[in-house]
Amino acid sequence: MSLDYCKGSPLSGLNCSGRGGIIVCRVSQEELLSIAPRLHDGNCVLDTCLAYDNRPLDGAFHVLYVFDCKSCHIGLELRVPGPVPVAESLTKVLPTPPCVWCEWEIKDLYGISFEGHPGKGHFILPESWPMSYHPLRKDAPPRPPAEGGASRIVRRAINKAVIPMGPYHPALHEPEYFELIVDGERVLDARYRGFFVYRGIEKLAEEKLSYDQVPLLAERICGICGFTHSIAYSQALESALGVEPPERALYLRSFLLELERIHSHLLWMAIMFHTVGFDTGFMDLMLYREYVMDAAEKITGNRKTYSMAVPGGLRRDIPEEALRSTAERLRSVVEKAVKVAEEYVEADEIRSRLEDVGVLARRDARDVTVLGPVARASGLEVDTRRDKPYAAYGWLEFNTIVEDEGDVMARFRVRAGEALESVRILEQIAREAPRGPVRAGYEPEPFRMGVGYTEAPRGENLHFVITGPGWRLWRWKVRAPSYNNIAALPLMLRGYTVADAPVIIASIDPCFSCTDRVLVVDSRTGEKRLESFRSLIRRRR
Amino acid sequence: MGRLAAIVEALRGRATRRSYPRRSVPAPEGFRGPPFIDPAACIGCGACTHACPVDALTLNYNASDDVYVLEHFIGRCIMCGLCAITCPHDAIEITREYELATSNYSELFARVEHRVVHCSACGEAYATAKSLAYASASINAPYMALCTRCRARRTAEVIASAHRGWR
Repeated sequence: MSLDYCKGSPLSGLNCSGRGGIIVCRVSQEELLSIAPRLHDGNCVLDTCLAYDNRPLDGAFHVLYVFDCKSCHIGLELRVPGPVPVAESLTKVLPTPPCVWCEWEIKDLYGISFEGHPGKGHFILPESWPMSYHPLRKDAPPRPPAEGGASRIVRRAINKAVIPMGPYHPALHEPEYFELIVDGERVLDARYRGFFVYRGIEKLAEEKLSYDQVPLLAERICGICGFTHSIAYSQALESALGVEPPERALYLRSFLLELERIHSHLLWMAIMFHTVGFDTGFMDLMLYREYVMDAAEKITGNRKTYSMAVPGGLRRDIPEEALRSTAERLRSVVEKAVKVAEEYVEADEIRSRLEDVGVLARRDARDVTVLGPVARASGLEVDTRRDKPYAAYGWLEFNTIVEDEGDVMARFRVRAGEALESVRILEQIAREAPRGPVRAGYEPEPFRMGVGYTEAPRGENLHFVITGPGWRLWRWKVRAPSYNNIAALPLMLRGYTVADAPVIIASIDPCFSCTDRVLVVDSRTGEKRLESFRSLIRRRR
Repeated sequence: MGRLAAIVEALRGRATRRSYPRRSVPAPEGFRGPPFIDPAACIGCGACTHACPVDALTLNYNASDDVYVLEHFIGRCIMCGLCAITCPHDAIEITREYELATSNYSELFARVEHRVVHCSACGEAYATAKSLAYASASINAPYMALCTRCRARRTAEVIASAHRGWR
């Protein structure tokens, strides 16, 4: 994946030149406001935006709006000079949730104010955080000042019953907070506050780790699909420095990525059954998943943290024999698991919990830029592996599973189909992977930009790096797929019952911790009562 | 149909549990556990401490015992195996252990002590004896018995005196 700067005026029209990569155009404020809506209404959708503090170099912050144009990304780079950086908000012309979120994030972390942005107070940082301290600025002191105007959360008063869910929520693998606005059992609307576990991973990598060490941190971004993050980072750095990994490394990367997709999808199906109260299905699928974890442990040395990715290839080779036997074994395991799961969802009690629940219309899915299985279940044909081939996917044959219904059942069918497709990919790699070295060396070069993306089990990961002096990163930006998918949850929750909420939330994101308790406020009596989340799950429709 | 299949599947009664920890389950070949540092092979060069992304390995001078201590703390170790790849003397081996929990805090540390070489000019401890011997065997440089600061000073003195008869 390459990074090119566009030639000529960006107003004359932007097109993907080749396959993959990102085209970056430097634009003025007026150009941005006029081009962005045209791009979004054309073939592209606004994916995310990010900022970097280049004040030590050219005296300005830069904001990069990234558009996903199917076969490549297009970036519009806006220069925002300091010391008091102000820009006009793109949400004035493009008020989609990803746009609101990413500009708000930049406002928190870099202190760039966006005129016309709807957000008030902090978004990523805790509410008591000083308003004047922006941690990702290059000159940010190691500790925030002791005092400073702490912001307060501003809430609209609502004349309806509100059910807060979270911040510790079993259907999400990170603490997130939803307010369900209900009328009786019906959910009228939902509001979201997240980022309770903002860990400053990007800053940590920029300050502390060398290029080869960052994949180990990237792998720990996610507790389920970490390897795909470490590969996305490695690809970003390779694109920045022009490193070509050996062919065998590319094949093996695809192998491990598919292995991860299989265990993630099986886990998701298990959690789905658990959420609807069918623990037999949960146990069965977790058992099948265990065989996949064992296979990963045998060939990589660990169940989940493979520690294999490194810019320029892979750290270790995998013997031919291990590839073959793993693919063979997983064929029978996954076929069996998917068959069992499909039998289970045919039972009326389970089907009625999944069918026509949490419907996300195709049009909404596109506007919110949902990614991965959630998008494919709503009829959007997006698959990074096919549209922007990376690793060995350009040489492999596989189908993209698309369903049109947009409900939880469709998300189930997409994932079940994908698990089987992944096995097909494993078999092809075991047959076709060329022999040879798995790692290429490279030399650092300061201030080069690069982008890397992978199709994680939950959707497209986007990593963006700028190399710094020596072996340190200047900027590392991670956009995980859930960033966009969670923004679509309020749309999915509207109109369904409270008992459906855990199913709908779990349908985009599979981790479960069973520690949550839900505070139910009855608007008529003002009475509050705490309910364990388990009892909420037990409530059937 | 689905219900029937579920019942059949449940009745099949596969035994999947193992009586762990009564019967120990060995980790598979190639499993990455914590590193074991071979005290005989380790020369105390500190390469692993630079490779370690989480600072689980540290090399520090202990003045009271006059030794360099290479210390591994399992509480921080992420079992990535970078130290074993980096070690120039193959002194680090990745073990297959995974039962690491203990009620004794000190068991989380593994230490290798190294004899220290003192600078012949200022007396400061500046290297482990083994790493100095390792370096001396491969490069033939003067002033190996001096610490880095004294070495730089002595070199500067030689250059200065050669140029204009300093002192």
